Amino acid sequence: MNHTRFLAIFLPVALILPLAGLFLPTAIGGGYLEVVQIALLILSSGLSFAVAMSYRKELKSVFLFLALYLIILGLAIIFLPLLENPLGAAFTDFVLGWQIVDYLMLVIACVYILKVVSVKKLNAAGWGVSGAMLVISAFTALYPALAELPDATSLENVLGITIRLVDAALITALTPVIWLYLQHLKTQQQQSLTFTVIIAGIIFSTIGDYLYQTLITALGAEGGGVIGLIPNMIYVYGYAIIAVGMYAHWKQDEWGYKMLDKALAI
Amino acid sequence: MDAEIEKIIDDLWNSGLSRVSKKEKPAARPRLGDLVDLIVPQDRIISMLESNPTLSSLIYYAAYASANRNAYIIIRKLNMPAEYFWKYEFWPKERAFTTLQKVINRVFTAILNENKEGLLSLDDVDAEKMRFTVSFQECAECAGLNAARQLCYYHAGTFAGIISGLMSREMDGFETTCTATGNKQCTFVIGKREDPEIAVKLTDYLAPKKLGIKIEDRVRDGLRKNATRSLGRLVNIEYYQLMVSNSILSNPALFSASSFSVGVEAGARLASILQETYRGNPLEMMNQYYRQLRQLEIEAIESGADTIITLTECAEVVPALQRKEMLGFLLGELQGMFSVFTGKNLTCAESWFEKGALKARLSPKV
Repeated sequence: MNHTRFLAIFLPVALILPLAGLFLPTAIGGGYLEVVQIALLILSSGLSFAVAMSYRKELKSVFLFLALYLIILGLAIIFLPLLENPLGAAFTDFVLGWQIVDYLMLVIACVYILKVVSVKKLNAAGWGVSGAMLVISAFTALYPALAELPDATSLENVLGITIRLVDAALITALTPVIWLYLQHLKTQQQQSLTFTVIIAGIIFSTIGDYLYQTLITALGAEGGGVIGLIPNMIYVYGYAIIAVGMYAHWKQDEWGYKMLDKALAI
Repeated sequence: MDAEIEKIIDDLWNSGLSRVSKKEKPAARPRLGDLVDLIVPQDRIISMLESNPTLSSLIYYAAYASANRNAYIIIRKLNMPAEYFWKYEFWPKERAFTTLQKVINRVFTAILNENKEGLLSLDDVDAEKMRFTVSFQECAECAGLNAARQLCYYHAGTFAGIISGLMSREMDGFETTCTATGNKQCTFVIGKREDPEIAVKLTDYLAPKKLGIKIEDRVRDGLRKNATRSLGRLVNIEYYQLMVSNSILSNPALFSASSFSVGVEAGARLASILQETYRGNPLEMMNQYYRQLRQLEIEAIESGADTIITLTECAEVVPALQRKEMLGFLLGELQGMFSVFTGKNLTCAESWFEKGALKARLSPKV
């Protein structure tokens, strides 16, 4: 096995996980997707922690904070529903606080990513794409919220919109990683495919839900039934991409050397 | 750069890799085989360096470029990901050392062993600074030589090129200890090209200075079959061919001409060593010498005032791509030797390939 073959097999295969939700009765489908999300988040977090141990300094921090982001997100899905009744009126603030802490982990991970990735090597097209991504992601993040004209004075709404703006900023910050990989695809310069896949997974899971909401809002469609499962399906596939990328990244040393050994043994 | 010579270089690297993967290969030469005495490359390179000390840079950078390109090609050919050493500067010391050591040992140490060039090992890694220390025991480039300073420019360039190819970034290296200066092994420090300390030390290492080597003493010593290393006195012919093709790569015609004139002096020097060492007529002495070193077989016939020499099994000739520029030094050496032996001022009027053999016409200078 090598990392490209692994990704080529398992990225399409991972689609089975969210799509299976469509074939289950609607009542079970939602629960199934939540369980799969939790499993993928815990798995990805563990792998991210293992990967962090194979690096030092900023790159170690990237994977440590990603591990924290993923596990906090997983724990939220498990525990927050259980705390709704005990916390009563304070529940919303608690959720918001949890969300802020979780996002902080992702923001810190992104800051370290930008320290590690040679953004200076980005070509003009890359800067153009990043700029376009900023506009698109900001629009996609804000449009559904603004379309419903929320009360701007409500703290909950202000924080909600702030989080969407942070999401847009994160996506913009992560776009150069993807572009740098494409930019250097045909040169000898090293860009990690597996790292790029992990980043693509983060972008997908962050922007996917907003894309869905934008479409629903723009089309004026109802969010119930099978359509209601789509956000969770997007999350499941986003986390599956992260898990697959993380596993391939973790195994790269071993697989790479085995390939070499095998090629020389023929 | 000459594309054909570059192809010869790439083919030679590829051939080394094939030998490591134990692919069956016919012998390079039917009678003299795959090996050549290490005096042959040493005589050539030291004669060239003593004649023109600025060649140290040329040898280093040519070896660097060829190793850099081929290390990358080899790794890709072995299906390893190009980004295998991604963000190496962030690797913990143990992972950085162990992983690089495994790859170097499995591929490059193995190729150098097959070539009988020496025993390469990774001694230390400072991943954060991107500094590497490699040692090379039994170095074919300097074994048996006594020099005033380190002189393994070819291997310094090769090792820096290999690490550079693996890391996908420009690196440089210099030699800190050398067998020729009395050390047990040759040691090289390799680091980032932009590292000021590396740049300063490389400049000093490559600075044109006389080596102070009496190559004729080394040849005499070698002909007495004194062992200089436990790997033996022979190296693979491909190591020699790689060294020659690298040295002429940037400008084959110019470097062939300059190595020819150095060869003439070397040949004159060699003639007296042959007279001290062997018995018989000049042609018999030359044949004994070249056969002992496993360099070539030589025949000569008179044709009027000219002498036509025929060289077969020639170590400098890469059969797939016969390039006369590879033979500049050898033809000069033969002109020098024949001139001394005949007492005439001969010149190599022309040379050509005929049925796999190299022929040359030596004519009296008008």
